[in-house]
Amino acid sequence: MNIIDIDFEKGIVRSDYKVWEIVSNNNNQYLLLQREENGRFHAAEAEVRRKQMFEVKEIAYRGPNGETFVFDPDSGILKI
Amino acid sequence: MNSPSSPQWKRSLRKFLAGVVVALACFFLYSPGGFWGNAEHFPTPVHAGFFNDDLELFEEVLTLVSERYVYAPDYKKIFSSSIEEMLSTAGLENLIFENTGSEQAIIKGAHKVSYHLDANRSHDLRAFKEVYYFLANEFKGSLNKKELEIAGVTGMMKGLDPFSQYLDKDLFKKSMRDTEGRYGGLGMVITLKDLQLTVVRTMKNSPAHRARILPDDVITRIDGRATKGLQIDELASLLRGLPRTRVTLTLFRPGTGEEKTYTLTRQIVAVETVSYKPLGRTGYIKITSFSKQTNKQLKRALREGLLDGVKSFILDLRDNPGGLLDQSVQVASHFLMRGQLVVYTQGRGKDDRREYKAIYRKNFNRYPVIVLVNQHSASAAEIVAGALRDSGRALIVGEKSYGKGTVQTIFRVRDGSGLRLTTSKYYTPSGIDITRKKIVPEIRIVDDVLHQTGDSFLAEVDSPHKLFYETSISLKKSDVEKFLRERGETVDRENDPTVLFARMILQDSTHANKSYALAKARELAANILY
Repeated sequence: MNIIDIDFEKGIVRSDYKVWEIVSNNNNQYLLLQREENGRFHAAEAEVRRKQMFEVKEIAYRGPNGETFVFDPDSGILKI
Repeated sequence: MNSPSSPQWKRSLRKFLAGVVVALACFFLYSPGGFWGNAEHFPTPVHAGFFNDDLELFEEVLTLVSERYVYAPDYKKIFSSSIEEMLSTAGLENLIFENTGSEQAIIKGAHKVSYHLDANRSHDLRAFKEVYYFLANEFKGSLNKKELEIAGVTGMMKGLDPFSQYLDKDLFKKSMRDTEGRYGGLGMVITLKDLQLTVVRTMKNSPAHRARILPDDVITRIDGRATKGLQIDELASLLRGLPRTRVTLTLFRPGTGEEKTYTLTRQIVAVETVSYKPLGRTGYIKITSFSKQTNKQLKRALREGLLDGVKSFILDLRDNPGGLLDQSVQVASHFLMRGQLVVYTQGRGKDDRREYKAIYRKNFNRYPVIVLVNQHSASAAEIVAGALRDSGRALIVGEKSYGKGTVQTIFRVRDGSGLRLTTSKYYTPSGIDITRKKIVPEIRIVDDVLHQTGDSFLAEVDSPHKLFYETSISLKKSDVEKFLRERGETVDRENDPTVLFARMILQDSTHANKSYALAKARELAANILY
C-alpha cells in the first residue's frame, strides 16, 4: 500500500485510503502504525524510504532502542 | 502444604501459567530473521519447532479473509477452490474422483478420502483438512506439506476475485518495490504486439529518446537474451535496473528492415503522465496513469490551455490503468465544485465507508468537458470518469470501461509472505458499483474494425439504471470516421475519430453541462446513423 503523506510532527501517516497514527518511529525510517475503526484496531508497519506499508496481525517491528510491541485488535498496540 | 483446591494453590498455578505465557510470547517475539533485509527492524517471527505448524498459514489467511474480505466469504466456494488447487499441485493424473452429488471422493490406488462442503466455515475446514492430510500422506516424498498448504492458500485466493492474491516471500518483496525512484529505466513504453516486444513510445530526454529509438521498433534481444517467449513482466524487469547501469538492446525496425544494437545507460525517468495539445478552441489532455506527479502535471496542462484561450477540454482517459486514488480525486476536483463528492469506498460493514470530495475552490468547473474512456480505462480513471459523469458536468464518450472498482489491502502474514486482499469497493457519487456496472459512456463508439459489437450492451445492465443506459447512443467507429472525412477532417494516428468527434461536439459549446453536449452529440449522431 502506498504512503501518501507523513506528518512527523502530528504523528500521522496517510495511506491511499486511511489515516494512521504513528505509535513508534525508528529514526524516521521505520514506523509502527495503528488506526481505530468501529472500536477495533488495525496495525501496520511502514518503511519510509520505500513509502510502502502493510497491515500486520503480528508485529515484527523493533523500536529505536530494540523495544518490542504486541498487537491486539481490541486494545491496539502495546509496548512490552 | 496447600491442597490443590486451596486459593493459595490456585493463585500459584495462575502465576505459573501467566509466567509460561509470557515466556512463550518472549520466545516468539525475539526470534531472528527478517523480511525487509533488515532483521534489526522487521524480523520475521519464526516457529519454535516443537508445535505442529501444519496449516498455520492457511488458517491465518482464512481468518483474514473471514474478517476483512469485502464480502461475507462463500466458504463452499473458497474451500472447493483450495482443494482443487491442492489436487492440481499433487498431480491430477494420479487421482480418481467420484462425485455423488452430496459427497465427493478422491481415490489414489486402494486409498480413498470422502468429503462434502456445506458452506459452514468450521465444517468445511475439517473437510479440507481431511483432504490435505490424505494428499500429504499419499504424496509423501514427492510433495511436502508446505507446498500443499501454499496450494491451498493460493486456491483460496483464486476463489475470491481476480485481484485478491497470495504473495510468496519474493512476490511480497516485489510488491513493496521502491516507489521513490531507486530503480532506473530507459524511458520507453513497451507492449507485446503479435508476441513481439514493441516500443509504443519514448519519453522526452530519456535514454531511449536520445538514442532515437522509435515507436514500432521491435526489441529482439536484451543483454544478448532473446525476448521471444518471455512475458511482459519479465521483459520489463530486464529493462529496469539501478541507475547508471548499462543495458544492451538489439532492435529491429520494421519500416527499414534494419537491425541495430544500442547500449544505453539507465537513469531515473520522471514519467510524464499528462500531455496537452490545443485542438482549436478545445484543450486535449491525455492522462496515461495516475502517479504522484499527475496532478502537478495536469495543473501545468490546464495553465497552458488558459494561455491558449481554449474554451473546453477533452480529458482522454483511454488505456489509463489507474494508479493513486488521491491523484484521481485531485484531478476530478479541477472540474467539480468544491466539496462535491468524487467517490466513496464501502467495506463489508455499514460504517466502513469513506467519502472523497473535490478540494479546489478555483477551478475549471465552468468549462465544458468530454471524458474519453475505453475498455482499458480502469480504477482511478473510472473514478474520475464516474465523478464527472454523475455530477452532470461531463459527457462520457468511447467504450465501456474495464470495471476495476476495488480496493486491495496488503497484509504481511506470520511467515513473511503476504496477502493482497480486496477489502472495499469504489462507488461513483450516485452509488454505482464500478466493478459490476463499469463506466458506460453516453456516446458509445464501437470499434467495429476489431469486431467489437455493442449488441449485448443494453441486455447487460440492470433495470434500476436502465433509463440511464437507454439514453446512450452507439456508433460504429468506421461510420464516425466516414462522417468526419466527409466533413473534411483528417483522421490519423494523432487525431483518431473519437477525439475528433468529441472536439466536434464541444465546438462552440459554452455550457458546462452535459445535457447541452448530449443534445449536440445527438444532432451529430443523426447524421451518422444512416
